Amino acid sequence: MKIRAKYTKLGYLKYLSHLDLIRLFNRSLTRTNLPVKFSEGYNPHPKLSLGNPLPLGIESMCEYFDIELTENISPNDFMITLNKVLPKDIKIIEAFEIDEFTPSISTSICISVYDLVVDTVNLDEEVDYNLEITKFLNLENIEIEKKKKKGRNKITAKVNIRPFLHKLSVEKIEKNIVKFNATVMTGEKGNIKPIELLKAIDFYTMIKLDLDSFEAIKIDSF
Amino acid sequence: MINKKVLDKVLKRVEKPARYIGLEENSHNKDLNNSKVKFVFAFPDVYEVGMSHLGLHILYNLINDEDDYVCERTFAPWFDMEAHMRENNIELFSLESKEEVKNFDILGFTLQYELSYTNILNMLDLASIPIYSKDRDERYPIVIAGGPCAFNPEPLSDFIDLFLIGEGEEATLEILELYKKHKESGFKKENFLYEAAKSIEGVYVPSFYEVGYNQDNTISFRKTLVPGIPETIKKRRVKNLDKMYSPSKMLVPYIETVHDRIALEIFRGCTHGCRFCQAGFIYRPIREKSVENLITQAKKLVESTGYDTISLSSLSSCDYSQLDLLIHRLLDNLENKYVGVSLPSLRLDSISIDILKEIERVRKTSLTFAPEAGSQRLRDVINKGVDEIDLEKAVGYAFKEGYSKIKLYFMMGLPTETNEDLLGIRDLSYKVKDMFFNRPKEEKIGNFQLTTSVSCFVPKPFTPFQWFGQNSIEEFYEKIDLLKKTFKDPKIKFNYHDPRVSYIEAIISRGDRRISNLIFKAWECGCKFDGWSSSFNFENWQNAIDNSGIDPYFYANRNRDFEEILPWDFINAGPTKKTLLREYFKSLEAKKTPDCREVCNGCGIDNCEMRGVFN
Ligand code: SF4
Repeated sequence: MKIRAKYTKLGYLKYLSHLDLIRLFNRSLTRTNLPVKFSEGYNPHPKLSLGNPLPLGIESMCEYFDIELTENISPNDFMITLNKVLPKDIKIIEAFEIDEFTPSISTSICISVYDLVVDTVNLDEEVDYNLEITKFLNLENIEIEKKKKKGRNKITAKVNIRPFLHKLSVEKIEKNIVKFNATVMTGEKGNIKPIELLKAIDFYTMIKLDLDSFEAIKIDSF
Repeated sequence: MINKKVLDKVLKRVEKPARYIGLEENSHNKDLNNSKVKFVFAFPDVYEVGMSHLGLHILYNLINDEDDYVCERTFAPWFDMEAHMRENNIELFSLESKEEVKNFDILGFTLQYELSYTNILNMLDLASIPIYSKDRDERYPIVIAGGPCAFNPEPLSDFIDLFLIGEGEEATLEILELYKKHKESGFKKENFLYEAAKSIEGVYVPSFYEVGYNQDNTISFRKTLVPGIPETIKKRRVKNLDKMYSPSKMLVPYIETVHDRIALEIFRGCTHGCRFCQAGFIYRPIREKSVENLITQAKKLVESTGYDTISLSSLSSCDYSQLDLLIHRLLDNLENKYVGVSLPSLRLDSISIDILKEIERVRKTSLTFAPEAGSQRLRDVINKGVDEIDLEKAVGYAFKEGYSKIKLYFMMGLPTETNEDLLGIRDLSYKVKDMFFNRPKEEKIGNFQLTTSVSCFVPKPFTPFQWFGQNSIEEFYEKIDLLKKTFKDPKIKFNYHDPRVSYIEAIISRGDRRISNLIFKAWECGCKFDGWSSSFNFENWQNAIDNSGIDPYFYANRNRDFEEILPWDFINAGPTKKTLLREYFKSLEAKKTPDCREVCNGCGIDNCEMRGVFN
């Protein structure tokens, strides 16, 4: 059977790379007695597939992986058993059965909702945050520079991210801290990283941000 | 505690931020405020290297298993992290509590290789701790050090308050216990150090000793400055490994490290008596753990880590007396977990075909052989008990089993070495290649690749070659040129170590107290991570040599007199100086000394655990 699990990635564990995460799940599965299906061949490993990588340094309440098992067990038992060996900041919060017709994680889950908290640097000027964001959303072209791989070389290309930005609002302004809520595409068809969005806000609006200070958490994805 | 918000900012900007976060599986999070002695274990290299070191895992669990003590970890931050830390005023901190290292009671460095010494100074500086021992009062942690390089502690004597010579399992707890006692009754650094030096075997406090020098720079005398402390320091050794503390847990790093696997220590010591090998002399005698004990430990370790490979760790793992049984039982117990077993080092003489086959049951490992010298005569000089037939047998078997990538390790600059011996390295390499291609067609499996690596010999204290002058850098380059010209086959990759690195290593490893100044000057010149070819900077070292006024020839290249007082003579590492001298003379005549499992060679160890058990 196949199970899809939704898990968190919080605290300092936001600094684990995609590869680190795969290895963590592999080791954790080995430590349980779950009937995990192993790949054949030279170096057997659990049949596990993760969704699109979360950028390093971003927390999340809603990451997903799929796992193949050799026996049927209840998804709830799967969750409880695996959670016993997972670190406290990476825990399964939901698990359900899927079958071979279920679309893969990366094709079915490609929209993310982020909470972004960041220090502002324009203290003396009066800035109307909501107005600035409305103006920002009215732009047809929001260009940012993205690093891309072209063959062996890395090149930077200008990309218009406006079509990938679905929603953006100011949630809270407190002293020099602003909190945004953003719904963006994260997948092969279009992708915005939190830092890219913040850079664009900083560049295109009067809201000036201390980009080093940002904290981002993915609160929903679908 | 350091400012976590600033840390978070910094972590977003550095390479591999997970090096600095801790929180690994099996890490502890004890409350620092509730512990009686706060110990921070410092590894003077980057996280991935330090975490691959077995001793760290042992000490970490040993200390944290005690209610009264806490042990946290710190590593040398990589260049990018150091720059950000200095810029943002983040002091060196522990991974667990993110607490400044300065606020711990004891800071313990492990000395695995001399080229990490500049990192020790840099870490002290990053921690805002005075670098010189004499400048530190009760406001700062006691700085201690142990590990293989502590067998010649003198080059670090200006910086380290207390050295522990030998195996640390028992002595570390004794030191912590004593610290606790002193802390409860008003801590005085001087008093604590004195008590430790007086009462704990294996403890060396350099400030209680004075060394004098002759006109020719050699040592004229050594004396104790306070009464009641030992003149010779006897190394600590654990008598019974089965009764010794062995952790059932290991920290499991999130990021890839040098050895991403369980290290199962199967024995300590080594009986071959290779004359160049320091570990072979200082960790005598051989002491094995029982199969029963190892199986229990292995199961617990697999359970607590989830690793899929167990590496049988020791100085020469094929020597384990019940290796066949151990591997069989390990695999039988763990195969359904898809756990494989690997042997880190294979000796040509004891390579057992059955053993390799057993390992095949789960997984293939790459094959490395270390003949060390190119000719039989020179292998006899260094007492490496293998011959060409051993190598042929082993390699032939490896090819048959489908291995096609082989690595061969050699040294150059060994005593009595001639060009003929050197060319033997080429001959042996070509022989291995021919053996592959002369096989029947259907047995030529895979893409043949041979890597021949040659390192520059660094004579070490407590070996029979401790009197021998290292080849000069020029001599090494001439030898490299000679060899390079003869390797013309694209299927054979010829690698060599940087002679300049080995030269610095040689200066430090047989250094005396005056080398402290060189290390300080080197650090001032910006030297750090000297063991990394990407950061080793010879020019900086040369400036440091000039600034310190030491004579590098005196330390690296000079043949010592046999009567000379050597800087490490005051340490009793087990085998006597007479034994080492006898071995040196035998080596010059290319005479071998048998493995001491066959016959005791009377090396001088008191109460040797081996006698009567093996021989
Ligand atoms: S005393 Fe004898 S058996 Fe023991 S280590 Fe020395 S030579 Fe080997």
